[in-house]
Amino acid sequence: MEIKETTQANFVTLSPQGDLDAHSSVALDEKISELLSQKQHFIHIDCSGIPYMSSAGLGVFISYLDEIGASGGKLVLSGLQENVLEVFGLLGLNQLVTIVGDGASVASEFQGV
Amino acid sequence: MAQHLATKFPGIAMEFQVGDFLYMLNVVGFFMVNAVLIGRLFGHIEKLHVTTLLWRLFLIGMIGITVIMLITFANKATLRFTTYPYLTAIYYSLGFYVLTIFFLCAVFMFRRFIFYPRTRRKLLLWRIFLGFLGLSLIYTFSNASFSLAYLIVISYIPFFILCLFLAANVRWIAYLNFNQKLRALGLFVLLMIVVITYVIAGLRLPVQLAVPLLNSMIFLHYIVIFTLTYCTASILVLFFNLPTSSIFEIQGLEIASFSKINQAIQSNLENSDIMNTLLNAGMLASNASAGWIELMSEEEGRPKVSIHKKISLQEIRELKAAHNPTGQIMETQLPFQIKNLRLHKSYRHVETKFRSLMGVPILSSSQTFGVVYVVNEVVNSFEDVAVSSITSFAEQAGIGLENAQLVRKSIEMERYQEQLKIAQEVQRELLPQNLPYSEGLDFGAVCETAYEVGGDYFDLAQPKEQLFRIAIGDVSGKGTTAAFYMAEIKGIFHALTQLELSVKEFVAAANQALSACLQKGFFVTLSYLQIDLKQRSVEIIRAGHSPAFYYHANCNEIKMLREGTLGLGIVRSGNFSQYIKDSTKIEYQSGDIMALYTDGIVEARNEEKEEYGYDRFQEIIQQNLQEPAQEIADRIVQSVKDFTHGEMSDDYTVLIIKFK
Repeated sequence: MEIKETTQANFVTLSPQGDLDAHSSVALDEKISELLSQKQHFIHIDCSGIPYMSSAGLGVFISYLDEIGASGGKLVLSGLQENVLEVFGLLGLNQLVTIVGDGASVASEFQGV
Repeated sequence: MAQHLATKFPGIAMEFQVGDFLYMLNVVGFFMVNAVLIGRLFGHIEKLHVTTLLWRLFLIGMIGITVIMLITFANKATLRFTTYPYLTAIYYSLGFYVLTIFFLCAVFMFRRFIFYPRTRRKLLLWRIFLGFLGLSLIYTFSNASFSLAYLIVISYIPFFILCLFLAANVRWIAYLNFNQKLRALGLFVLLMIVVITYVIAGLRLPVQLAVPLLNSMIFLHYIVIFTLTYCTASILVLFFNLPTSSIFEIQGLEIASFSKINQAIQSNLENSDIMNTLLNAGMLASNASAGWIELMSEEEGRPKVSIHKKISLQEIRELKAAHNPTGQIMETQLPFQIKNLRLHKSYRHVETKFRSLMGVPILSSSQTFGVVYVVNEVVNSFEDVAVSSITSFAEQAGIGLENAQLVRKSIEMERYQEQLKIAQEVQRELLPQNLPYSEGLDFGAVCETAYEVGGDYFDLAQPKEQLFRIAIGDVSGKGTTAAFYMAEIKGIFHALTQLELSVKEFVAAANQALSACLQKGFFVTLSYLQIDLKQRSVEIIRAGHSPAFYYHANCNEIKMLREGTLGLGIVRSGNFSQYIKDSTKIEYQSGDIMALYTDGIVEARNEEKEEYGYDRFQEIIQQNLQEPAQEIADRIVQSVKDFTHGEMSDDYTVLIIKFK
């Protein structure tokens, strides 16, 4: 899986491309882990390039929720496709992760952190 | 000569006047009959080996010589006592007969050698040869009396040239090994001696026998010339072929080792057998004085000597202590050679009797297995031919090793498959074997796994006569890991359903229990429900799981119960309870149906990546309202399979409850 990384003023944007399943999620997992080890706790993931997300893919976000929360960081997801958003909703993840419609409003989520 | 005979044996002269037609006919007839007879006789013994044939010819020759010696002796002995005028003539006729027989035998035996293998050109040469013999017989009848010198020029020289052409056909020698060549050479030398003896004896024959004209002897001269030429040619060729025959033998052995390696590959022998054959063949092909093979050891992750010949491990260690080319050879995948260890900068100070070293990688298309080394005490001893031979042997061995590896892997795979099958059986037993029967409820369930084992779970408990507790769940991920967690959920379910817990308390307790045992990143979605037959109520709580469908019989409507809580294991800290939402409680009516399922059903995708979805699911329920619960469950799963055309990428679980 190809993941584009762009560093903004106070957060990092990751843009994974393709289905996020048990295989491809390993790459994203490593990427997030790498950012956290570099003390970068403000992460924005642009999900507009993810047409499908399996439960193992969801597991990647879930596994870092506690760590990001504990360090005072923030995880923001944007551009979730409808079916992916549905899965997030059913699982209740929308209560734990900040989900915004598109990339435009992302910066405001990190405002003042 | 005729005069001489006539005076000595007046009787012969009387009956056979020299030059008489009848006499000539007799001589010609003798040659022809014998030629045809022996030609036929030797034309038929095809299967004998060269040395056997030569040995037989030699024996015939020896018997002939013995006969001639006896005749000479008998002649001398009897001459003293008897004066019978024809006796000497009879004796010498016998000698003449023996001599002719021997040479004819030689001619027809050599014919077989010449015709190995038979070609059109050789056949033509042989026919010309026979033509010469025929002409010589006809010539007997001619009255022309050429001088010997004239004869030599017009017939013997052309015939000798023809014999040289015939004698050039010594292909059979190439097929003999060194020992056979030596034996054949010895036999030919013996034969040569026999032939010369005959020639010496034969030279005196015409005098003794008083065979007349030179004319009738040309036939005999011809076959003697031919025999002598062929014997000489064979001796020379055999002699000069002796030194090179070992090369052909080595090549023969190389071919043999090649096929042996091939056999080893096909019969999937042990690696050690393949290595043994490779080293033997390699050492033979390169004429090496010692050699060894280093193979990559899987346990140690570095090359290890697996077999060594005529060199000790200690010597190998000492040799390679100075410089170890194995890594380089395996990396470049190219043969490596040091022509003179004494002059090499790394080996200059090593005490070793070896002077040249060569290493060739053992490769297959996908990996490098190791290196085969050969060493020699002579400087620069590995020729290009040797390098290419060892390289091709090593390639063959590489294929063999890869095959053996594949076989081992497939056996291992089979064992895993076996283990998975056991796991599958165990897991199947974790699911309810029989659905409970109740007056007020009708249950139906299908659970199919995409892989050998899966992460879907459903279970029912009946703690009291009037109370059912039911759970349906799905572990994130697929396969073996999910299957283990599923087993844990079963434990948690049966422990908690024994307690008097509300559905909300159940979810909180299950989350806590699972948080302690789920790996990071794994979570469980679960729907838990409690059916009270006395109160005629069903209470459901959805923890991240796919929402259940509820069919209300009185309004003929299917509703999706979306109200829900976070999945289990997502929030593992104490504040999970703040995310728990209220449960849904329904007072059921007779004919109501509840449909529970896992996401594998609604997320099943067809070739066009289209999802099965909620609508198709509801449609099947709507169409089968009157069917028993099991029938509805079966039809849903069947419709999903029809939709995906049998392609199954996730587990399918459906649980149908019909209220009576």
